[in-house]
Amino acid sequence: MNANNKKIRMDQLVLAVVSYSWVTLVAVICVLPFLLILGGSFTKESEIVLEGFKLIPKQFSLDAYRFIFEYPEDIIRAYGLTVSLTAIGTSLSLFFISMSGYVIQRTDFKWRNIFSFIFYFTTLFSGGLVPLYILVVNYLKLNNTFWVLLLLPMINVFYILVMKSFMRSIPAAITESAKIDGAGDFTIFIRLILPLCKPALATIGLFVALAYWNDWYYSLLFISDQKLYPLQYYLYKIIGNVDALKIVAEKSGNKVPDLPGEGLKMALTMVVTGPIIFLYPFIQRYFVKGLTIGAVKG
Amino acid sequence: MKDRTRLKKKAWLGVMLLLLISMLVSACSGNSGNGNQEESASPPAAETTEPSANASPEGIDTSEPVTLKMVLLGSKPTDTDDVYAEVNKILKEKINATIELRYLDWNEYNQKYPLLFAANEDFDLIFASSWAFYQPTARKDGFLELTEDMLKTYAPATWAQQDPLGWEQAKVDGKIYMVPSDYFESGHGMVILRGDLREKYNLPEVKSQADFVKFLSTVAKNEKGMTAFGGPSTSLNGVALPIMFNDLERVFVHGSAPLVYDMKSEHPKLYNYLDDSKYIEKLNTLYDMAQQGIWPKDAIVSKTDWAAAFKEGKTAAHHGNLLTLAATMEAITLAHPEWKPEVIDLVPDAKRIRAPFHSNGIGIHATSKHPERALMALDLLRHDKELFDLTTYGIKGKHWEPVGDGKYRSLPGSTGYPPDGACPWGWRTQGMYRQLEGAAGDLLASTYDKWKKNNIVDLKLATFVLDDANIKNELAALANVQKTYLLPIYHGLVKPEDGIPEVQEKLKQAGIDKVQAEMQKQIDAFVQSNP
Amino acid sequence: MKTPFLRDLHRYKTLLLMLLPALLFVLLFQYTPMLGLVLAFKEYTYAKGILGSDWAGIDNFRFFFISGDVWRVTRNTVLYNAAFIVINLVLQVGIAVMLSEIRSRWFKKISQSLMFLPFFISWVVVGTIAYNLLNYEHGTVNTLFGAAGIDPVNFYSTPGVWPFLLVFFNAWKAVGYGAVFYLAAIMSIDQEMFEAAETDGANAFQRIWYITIPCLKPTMMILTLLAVGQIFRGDFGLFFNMVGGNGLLFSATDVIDTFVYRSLVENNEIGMSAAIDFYQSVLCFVTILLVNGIVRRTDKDSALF
Repeated sequence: MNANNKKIRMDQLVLAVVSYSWVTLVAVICVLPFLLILGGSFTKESEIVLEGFKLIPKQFSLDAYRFIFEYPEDIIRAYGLTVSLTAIGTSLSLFFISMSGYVIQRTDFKWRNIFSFIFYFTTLFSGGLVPLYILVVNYLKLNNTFWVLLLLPMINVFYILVMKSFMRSIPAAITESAKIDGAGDFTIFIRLILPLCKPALATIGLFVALAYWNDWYYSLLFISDQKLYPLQYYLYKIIGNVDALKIVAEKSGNKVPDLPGEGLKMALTMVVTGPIIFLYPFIQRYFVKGLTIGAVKG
Repeated sequence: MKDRTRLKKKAWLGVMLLLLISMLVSACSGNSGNGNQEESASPPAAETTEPSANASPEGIDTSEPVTLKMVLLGSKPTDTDDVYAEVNKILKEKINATIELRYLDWNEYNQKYPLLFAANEDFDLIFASSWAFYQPTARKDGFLELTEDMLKTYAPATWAQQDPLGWEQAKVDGKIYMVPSDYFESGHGMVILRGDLREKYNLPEVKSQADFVKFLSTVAKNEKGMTAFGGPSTSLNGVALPIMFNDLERVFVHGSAPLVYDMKSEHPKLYNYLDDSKYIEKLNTLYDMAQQGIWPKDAIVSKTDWAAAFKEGKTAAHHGNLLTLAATMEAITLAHPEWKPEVIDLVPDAKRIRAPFHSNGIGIHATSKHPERALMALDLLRHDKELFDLTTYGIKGKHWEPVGDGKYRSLPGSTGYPPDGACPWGWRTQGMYRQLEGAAGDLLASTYDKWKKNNIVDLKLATFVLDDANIKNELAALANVQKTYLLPIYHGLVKPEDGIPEVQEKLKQAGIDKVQAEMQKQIDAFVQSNP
Repeated sequence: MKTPFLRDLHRYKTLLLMLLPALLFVLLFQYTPMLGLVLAFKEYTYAKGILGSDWAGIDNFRFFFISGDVWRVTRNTVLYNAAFIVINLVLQVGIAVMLSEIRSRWFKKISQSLMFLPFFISWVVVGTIAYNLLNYEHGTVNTLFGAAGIDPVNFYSTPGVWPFLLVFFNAWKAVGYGAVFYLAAIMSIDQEMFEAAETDGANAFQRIWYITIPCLKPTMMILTLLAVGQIFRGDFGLFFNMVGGNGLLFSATDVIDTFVYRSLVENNEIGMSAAIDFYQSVLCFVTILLVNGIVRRTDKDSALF
């Protein structure tokens, strides 16, 4: 590697130019709408209605954010709940997913295809909402509990299968030689396999964490206790409140002060996404670390 | 030896696992089936409510305190708990019951309303409405059937005072499943427009659809920065711009099919309005309006809130029912009096119908444990002045104050409990409902009075309820055809003469003939048995 | 006594126990509710419940087939998904490879974060943005066209442009998060392989073509197969929020899911929506059995099951 740094090779130059320019282009396309949303979230609602939203608002307004943070203790509690859900849920979920992924990729496990199919089949057929609702509410009695929010997003079969495919790149010889040394399957998994697939864990972990972070649907279905509103659902309710207030304003004839509507949606996107944007570089670092450890052990 | 025990243990493990799995599966399935079947085996009304024929309300045993769970729609205003604490004090004293509220928010009731019934959750009273699952829920046995005996016994005031038409309208397959509201309303479409712009271009007062179109095209031509009008709606259920069709005095049986009948007819005959040259003429007018740029070219996908746009001065006119427009007018008079807003009925002579009573109401859950007490509570909510005022307007002196007997004034505190905003619509009652003090309230009252005198016709089919069991599939298919092929014509995106033949063909394919025959058959039978 | 099955059970004891949590989960939360599949064939009432309701035969399916649009919406769904699969694959792999070639740490981090942003923007908001960009009167695109002397385009009445727009927005939303998978796979590649290639005198493009891409194959296979398994399901959020009720565009944009929504939004028949879900499931099932079968034949390890 060091030797190559001295002379600039044509092929690497071309590759670098192509990579930098293309990545820049895509990144810019991805970030522009986001800036538009940022602009929109700070725009006075009347300006959005009249002219649509722009990168730089003419009439700057904090109404939308003020509306969201009207009850700070509620939003802090919601944040707290979501953070703990995400932390606990992601660790458990990653553990189960990687463990299952490992088992169904073991070539010496005769039933791996049957179990893969049992998992996969659930992505094809589902009984729909009504039976799930009845199951959770009537039989498990989990509605209005922390558990339902923790449990339902826990196992995503897609990730088990992706994990299986990631783990295939780990040489089977590692498992075999460890078995000869007398190690049990579970020990092999914990001691040898997990450290080797940190990039995969970080990736899947990211998505599982996002699933916990972003979920409002299960809360909508199963949570009616205000103390158990996770962040996303709390914000979702705020939009609902604005719509309702508008309806009520029309019914009652009261003059309701300027309510942020579109601007509010934009501001919500910012509030939810902000923390993740800060978090993401850390996850990336974990990535890189995972890689180096993996390389050393490999 | 050791090996054998180990093997046994392993085998056990496997067997246990399989057993566990199969038990889990069968337990859940078996239970869900059985549990529900038991409920269906005994008609819910049978044993829980066996009112003795000669029991008077005073004689009803209310010694056992009960908590009634009530489900309402909308988001919960912040002061709701305070208000209902007051409500419960009164209810406790009068019938030894308290109400526990649960709100289904606007953005979730669509999902959750049916689920509450599917899972047979524990609740007693629930908001029911022709626009919120009333008929489907009743047909799926979600509500308790309310017999005349029960109503007479437990809700005597309601039974005595409710407009009988309400009971008829609330019937599904001949049975009553809700207590409908008892209040006059009409959804007749009107317009509101900018008087200052009309004067600016020396246009005469707008009195007809033609005047209105003239006004809009003038604005579209001359006011470059403005959108004249928001245009037809972005979905189609009925006609997409009622204000332009109201003079035809036609009514739909079901919004999914373009089948209409004359609202004045004693024996209504259904027909496809696309076969009616008067309708085609209207669609041509809409096409011309679109060509003149009266509404944006892509209004069909517009995400604009047109009511807000009008209030902000982006459009020159808006349409809606009187209730909405009166409020809009009030808001504009406060913010921009120089706009001189005018609320106009484009077809002052046309007949119109009253909103059916069952567009708001309260149903009782089929498996409610306290249906008697629920009815008694409902009777009080409707006819106890104090309770009605509390639930509808909030706490006197905090949220509102009375102006005379029939009017009210909102106080600044009303943001915590907006008047008529916490979903008390299910027990809205004539004689109890107060009028908002001020111009908007006056306009509303005087206009309604005028309509009641001159314009309102009672439909022969006012109490007709379509049984869609045999045509569900066709209705779904027709709904789709209308939205796909007919809506663009309303928006002037397709020329009527080019588009309508295609719509007709698609409607045929989707079974409009079958639907028409079935509906007509039911109507004929209805007319025969209700001469 | 020692049947092969029991012997295997013994042998795989630990492995089975390791599978148990996930297995119990899918049994409880996925397989048990699958009883609801019968709803597609039932006339559902609350009182009689899911299993007790009367059988309706195939009546719940009828509205779909008499609409005359079955072929159109099914075709659109499959074609869109096929386009999404191919284009997303190429873009995501491309971006991942390029990112891995970028030496500047901060540039890599920032650009990767930025590309992830669209993932967080809900389709509702994307729909609003698209309308802001594309509408005829004040849309950014048409304003730019006007400035450049090009006639404005009425996007919302031109079905032909929508396949491109929809593919674009879909790719835009997916590129960042899809690339993360491939990037993880690239990071797992043994560095020695690259060094060996360098020593053998391979240029940068040869290195990518002969080492990186083949190493990405398992990830590509699995993600593609998973997507193929959903090929009869339209992304409702995307299509509904971008196109809305604009019937003019439906010839090019209508998918099964938007069709069902439009037909049933007023009726809300649980049985009828279950029926179409069943239709989609069966088609997906058949497709994935076929595709997986072919994959198994050529590359046993890449197959899903």
